[in-house]
Amino acid sequence: MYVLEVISFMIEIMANAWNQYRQGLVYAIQHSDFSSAILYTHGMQAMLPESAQPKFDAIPTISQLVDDIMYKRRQWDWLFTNMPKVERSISLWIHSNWDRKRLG
Amino acid sequence: MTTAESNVNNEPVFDMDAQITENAFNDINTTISGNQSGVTIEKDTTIRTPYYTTYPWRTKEGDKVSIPVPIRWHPLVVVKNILNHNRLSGGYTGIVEIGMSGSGKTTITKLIVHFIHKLGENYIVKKFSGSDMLNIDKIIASCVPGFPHIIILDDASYVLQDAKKHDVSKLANALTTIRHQIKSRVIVIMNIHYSKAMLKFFRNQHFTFLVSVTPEELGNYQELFKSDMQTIHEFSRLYRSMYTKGYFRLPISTYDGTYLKYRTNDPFRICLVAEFTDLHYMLFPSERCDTCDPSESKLKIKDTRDLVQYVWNKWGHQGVLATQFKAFVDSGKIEYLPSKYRRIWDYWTNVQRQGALNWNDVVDTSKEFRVNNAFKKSKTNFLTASQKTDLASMIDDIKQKEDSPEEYLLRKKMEKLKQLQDEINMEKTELGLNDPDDVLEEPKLQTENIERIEYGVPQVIDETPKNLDNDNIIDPPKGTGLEDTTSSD
Repeated sequence: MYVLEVISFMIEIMANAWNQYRQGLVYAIQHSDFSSAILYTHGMQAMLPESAQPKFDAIPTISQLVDDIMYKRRQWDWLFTNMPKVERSISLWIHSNWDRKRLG
Repeated sequence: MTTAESNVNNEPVFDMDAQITENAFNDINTTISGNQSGVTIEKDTTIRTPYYTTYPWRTKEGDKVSIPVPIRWHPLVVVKNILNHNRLSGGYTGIVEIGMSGSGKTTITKLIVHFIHKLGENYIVKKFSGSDMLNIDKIIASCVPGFPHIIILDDASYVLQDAKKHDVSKLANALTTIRHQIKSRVIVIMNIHYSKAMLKFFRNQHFTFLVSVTPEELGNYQELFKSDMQTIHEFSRLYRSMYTKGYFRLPISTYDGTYLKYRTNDPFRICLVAEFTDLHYMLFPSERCDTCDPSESKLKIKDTRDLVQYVWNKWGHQGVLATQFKAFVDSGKIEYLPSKYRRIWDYWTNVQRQGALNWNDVVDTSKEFRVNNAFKKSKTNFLTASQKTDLASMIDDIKQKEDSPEEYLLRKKMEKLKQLQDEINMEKTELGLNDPDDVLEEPKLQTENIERIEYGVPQVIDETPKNLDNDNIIDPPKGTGLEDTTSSD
């Protein structure tokens, strides 16, 4: 099926961008730049078609002093929960497209 | 502003200098939906659409089950595509089924015919052997002009191998012009055992079913479906599994490692179908019914007269006429119709030849005509004299009721009273309870007298008082001229 051929080709193209985001994500986390890591995670999510996108929790924000103290911790918690979500969605999307291709 | 083209109203068709605005999408959508041009904007939902559906099936035990099936593998989708092509393309759809003996070509043919019948389409099915292909004139002559046909050419392998060039070109020409000769839509199904067992021109059809795969065929398929060899190889694997292991399975999700496992013939087998250039799998059960495949019917109708009698009793003349139409539609023999209806049929066939006919419009307009002319027609042609009188009095009643309701009520009461009186008198007469005063005897006597006078029957009327004896008769005084002269003294 022609459409699925195109999707397979698109997956290859998109893999490059995802890898770029992943490299940025790893670098940002290694340097405790969680704000950038959250941004890259959102970028990875946005690349998926709308129906395949995961739903993220609300991004941590600061409204009072206590939030500021706990900010880094809350950002890490957010990444720990939501980053695997986007990786899972990408994998599932590629698998389901492959399954559809096998279905003919 | 440069107007590149204009329509009849001198309105710009497209503007070369137009800029795309923020609301361009909405503007285009409004324009397209407003002018009903046959162009619409749609959002592609391919990714979101679930690609599984269910197939209703009755098990050997008689239980109803819903079997999960990928939508693209569902045979009904393929049959709908065949019908759509037949409707939209101009009336000719060719189908080739390639497969070894016993792989399921006939099963697929029956399934296609059955589904077309289930979808409410009335195609006349004509089945021929492959050798009949060379007598294409006879095949066409056996068809009913103006009626959609499915022509099945079973086992058409190598038929044209030894045919003369002239016969082959004649057949090729006939197949391309068959829809013009039949003057209706035609679906031609050709079954062959091997992809190269038929000349390229004839196997070049829009729908190709690949029912089996062998090493030799694999090479031929390589030529035909170069870009889809992945699918062909996958089919080879499934085909082998289907006939050696007794099952075949397809992935639901390789991410979760879940598969659907189908047992062979319970109820499906699997084949490949190329719709135009789109090659995909199709599941096919063995499904048919007595209507579309009467040759294998176990039900025998014994008494036709009883059946027709039932139709006559229930629906009368119209029921019998509809029966004739049903016979025509099923058999394709137009002589089953009364001559008047044959002429109407021919008329619409000729109209259809001149261009695409919108049957929805025709039916709607026909209904309108029937509603508008029903009263007029029935009043002039179908009402008897007494029915007309009744109808006229009903109309008078309605008029009077509207004009002067009091008079109307009074008249109705009087009529009821009179009717009651009549009924009472009738009952009295039956029971012998009539009032003696009501019996008029005198006129009867009078009638007798009149009769006597009329017929001049001589009768002496004795006016002598009955209570007087002869002895008591007093003689009249003498000299008065009243003496009895008959006396003997």
